[in-house]
Amino acid sequence: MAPRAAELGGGRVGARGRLFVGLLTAGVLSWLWLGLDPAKLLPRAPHRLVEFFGAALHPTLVSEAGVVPDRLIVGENLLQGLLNTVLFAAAAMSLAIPAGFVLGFLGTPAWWEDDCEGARRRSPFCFCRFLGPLLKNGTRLLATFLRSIHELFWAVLLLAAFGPLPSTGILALFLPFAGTLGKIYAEMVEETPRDAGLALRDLGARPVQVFLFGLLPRALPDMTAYTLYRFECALRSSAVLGFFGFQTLGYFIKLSFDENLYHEVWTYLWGLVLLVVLTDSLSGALRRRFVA
Amino acid sequence: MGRSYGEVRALDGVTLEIRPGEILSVVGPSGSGKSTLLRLLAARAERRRGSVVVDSRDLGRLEPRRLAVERTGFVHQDHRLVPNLRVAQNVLLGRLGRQGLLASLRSVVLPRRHELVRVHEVLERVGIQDRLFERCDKLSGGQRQRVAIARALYQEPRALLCDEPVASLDPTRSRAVLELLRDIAVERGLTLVLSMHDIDLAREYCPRLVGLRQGRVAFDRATTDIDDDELDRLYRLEQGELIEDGAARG
Repeated sequence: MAPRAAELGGGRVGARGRLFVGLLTAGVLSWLWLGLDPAKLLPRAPHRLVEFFGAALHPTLVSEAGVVPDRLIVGENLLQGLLNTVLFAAAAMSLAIPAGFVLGFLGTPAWWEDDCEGARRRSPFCFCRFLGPLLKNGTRLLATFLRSIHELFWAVLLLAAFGPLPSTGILALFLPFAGTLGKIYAEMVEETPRDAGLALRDLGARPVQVFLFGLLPRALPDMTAYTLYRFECALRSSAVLGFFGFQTLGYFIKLSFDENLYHEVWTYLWGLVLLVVLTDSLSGALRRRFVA
Repeated sequence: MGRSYGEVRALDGVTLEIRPGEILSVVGPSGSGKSTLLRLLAARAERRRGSVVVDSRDLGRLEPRRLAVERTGFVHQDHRLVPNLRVAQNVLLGRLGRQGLLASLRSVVLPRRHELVRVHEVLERVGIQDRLFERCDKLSGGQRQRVAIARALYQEPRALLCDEPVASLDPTRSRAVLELLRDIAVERGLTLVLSMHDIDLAREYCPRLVGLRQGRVAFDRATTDIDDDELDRLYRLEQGELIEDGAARG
């Protein structure tokens, strides 16, 4: 008897095919709904586009508008913007990492759950049954809330409340980044292989000791690598915060862009690219050194 | 004693008496209940029927069971070390059951001199003292098994239970590890219970064999009193198993 398609994995292929067709349909429907015309994707003023991208080849360190022509004013702004971008990102991450650890710790049941064949349940029953799940779900809800709101929305909200202070920008970056780190840290701990942890339970360890010595050390390399990646994200977000008046790279980009000073814009953009590439290679070196 | 997992009866009516300092091996085909028996003996699993009595005390009560966990070293087939911790740290984890949270943190992160001296002693006994600060994932399979034995010894156990301790090692390293376990048991007066699937190795190193088949004791005698026919019967495939095996292969 010939095997059925499902037995040969045909069922999976069918499901994937349906998913692909579904996504494609959703895309086409979105276009139709928004009334998008492919012809309109072409620029209305192509010469502006050519002018803008052409300026990428000729960035400038002196003012294009002739302001203080003897000084490398754009170069000075670039250095100030880069420094502020790094400072905002570092300050926000220095708060987001410990907060993410706390959220990640409370958001996983790994430190209080004991499913070891019921042999040595050390955590109090009422904690496992009621308080633990409440704490876990409450923490996850908080982390989801924090990361659901983009840092730029947080910036708008916080600017209205606190005004254009550096602490406002730092807070706007810190809140969503703490939520994201908390969620990912918790997931990484939960995805860690349990074998070593189970062996520690066999040695009579309490669940929190199993978490600290059996799971956390194994999750730490991935957590470190992800934290370094998030630092790169924080740098980009920190630069964009400049569009809201904080003196990071985005601030200078906006000033030059509003005046159509594209050579200056590209100086700042190349500076940002250089900063991200530098951070990427630095974090790569750190990963190779510490996250083997 | 007995133990079931859902509908599957892993152990059924097993009675076993083990004297202090005795060395024995539980043998039997895959799925015969060897691992379950070892976990019950070491109080690592809850039994459903019967009792486990250690030093005239029933392990059914919480406190003796905790004592048993602290006093029985358990060595797994797959080592179960924390791979990215150092050898010394993995050995120090052997005392987790006796330490509070802060004491265990201090011990693993900043071990005291006397703790490191003790760790060095047990590592010296298993022959890898020169790897004290090596990461465990840099070690070979045989070396990891020795670290697992050192961790169990650091518990200062009265009995050592090893679940397939040499299943993942080549014959030469298997013999070295079994010799080591036997020597340690003899010199420290430890009770040593091994579960083994390699019957030749079990016969070579253990003076007493307990044969398990489908959760029941098939024989329990001195190794010298067991003949080849008995072993053949222990490992012979049942008709159902044969069909199942054939189907799996097909």
